[in-house]
Amino acid sequence: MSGAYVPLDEVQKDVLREIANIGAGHSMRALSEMTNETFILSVPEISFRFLSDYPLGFGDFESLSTAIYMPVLGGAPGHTAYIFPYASSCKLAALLLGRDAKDVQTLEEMEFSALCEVGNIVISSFLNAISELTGISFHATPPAIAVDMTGAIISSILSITSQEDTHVLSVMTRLEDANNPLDGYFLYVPEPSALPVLFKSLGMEF
Amino acid sequence: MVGMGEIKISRMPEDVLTALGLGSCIGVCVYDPICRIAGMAHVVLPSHVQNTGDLPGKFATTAIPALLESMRRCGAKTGNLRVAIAGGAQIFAFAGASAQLDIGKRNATAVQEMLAKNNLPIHAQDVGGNMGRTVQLYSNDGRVSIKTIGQGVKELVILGDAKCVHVNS
Repeated sequence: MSGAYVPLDEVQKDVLREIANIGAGHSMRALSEMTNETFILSVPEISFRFLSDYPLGFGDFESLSTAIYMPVLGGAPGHTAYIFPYASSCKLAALLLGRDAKDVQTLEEMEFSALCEVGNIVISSFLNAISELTGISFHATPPAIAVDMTGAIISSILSITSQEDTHVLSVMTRLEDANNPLDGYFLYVPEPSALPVLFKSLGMEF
Repeated sequence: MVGMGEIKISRMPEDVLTALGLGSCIGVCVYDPICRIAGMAHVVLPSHVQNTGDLPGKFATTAIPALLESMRRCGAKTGNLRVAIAGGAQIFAFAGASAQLDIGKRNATAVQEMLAKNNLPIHAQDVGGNMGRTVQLYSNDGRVSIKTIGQGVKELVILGDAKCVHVNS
């Protein structure tokens, strides 16, 4: 159990944004290498919201999304997920498997395992980058994949962190493909106990 | 709209209480067919460790008593109440994961136990599985409908129907 979140000041938010930015930048490089596509990252958006206000900000709750989710253990526990609109995940799977985008309209066993593998590599790159920056060691766990309503995906991830707080802190970085509509986002939800560890590792008081 | 951890009550016939995109969470629907009062709790976790803050609907252990109390305060009679629950799915299945991690299942069990403890039989339920659900409770007749990606919208039960009988004892 990890206690409650301490609200962040502007400087702390900037630092967290920068951590997420570096992590997402590395993971996008990994994704670009695998797909030969160029991605553009948004500035990470930090939300600290009352639980009942989620999953506001994540689009249509009932739209179909594909999510690759990995709980993160170790020095600064949290949750990471790559979430794509379903059509985008089909396109990504086609790219990964070297097939024509129009031939992949639905995800089957093969596509799932390709996406899961990519999720694994991409999330590991994110964690490696943060680990190098902070010196904190993270333990990646095997990712799980789901195709479902966006709201069901987001709320299932957030509910785990909400044990002792009625607020949840989330960091979202959007990605856009320069050529294809491969939009998606990278979600990082640090557990309350992870924040002091992250900030202290960078020499900040918390 | 009933957000995560919220409890909402309505006695307006045109109202529809909605919990959008439930994953491991549970929508607890209660209905008083005589007074036509509908209530819904959006339960997120089975039981609380510390205080619940200002979201008593978050935990099954605090949500059920708070939901019943809110219904009573709006004029509903405990003896009239009919109940339907939906949700508690496992959206992410991890290989070799323990049952402890299946929050959906633990939520369902906790909600069922709390309802039993309050002597409230469940008239209909759609819990577990691996699919997200949107749950709606219609204030005018207690209709509970469930929407999933795979199966579209289906009616679970009409809690206001005289023929409505409970599924457990």
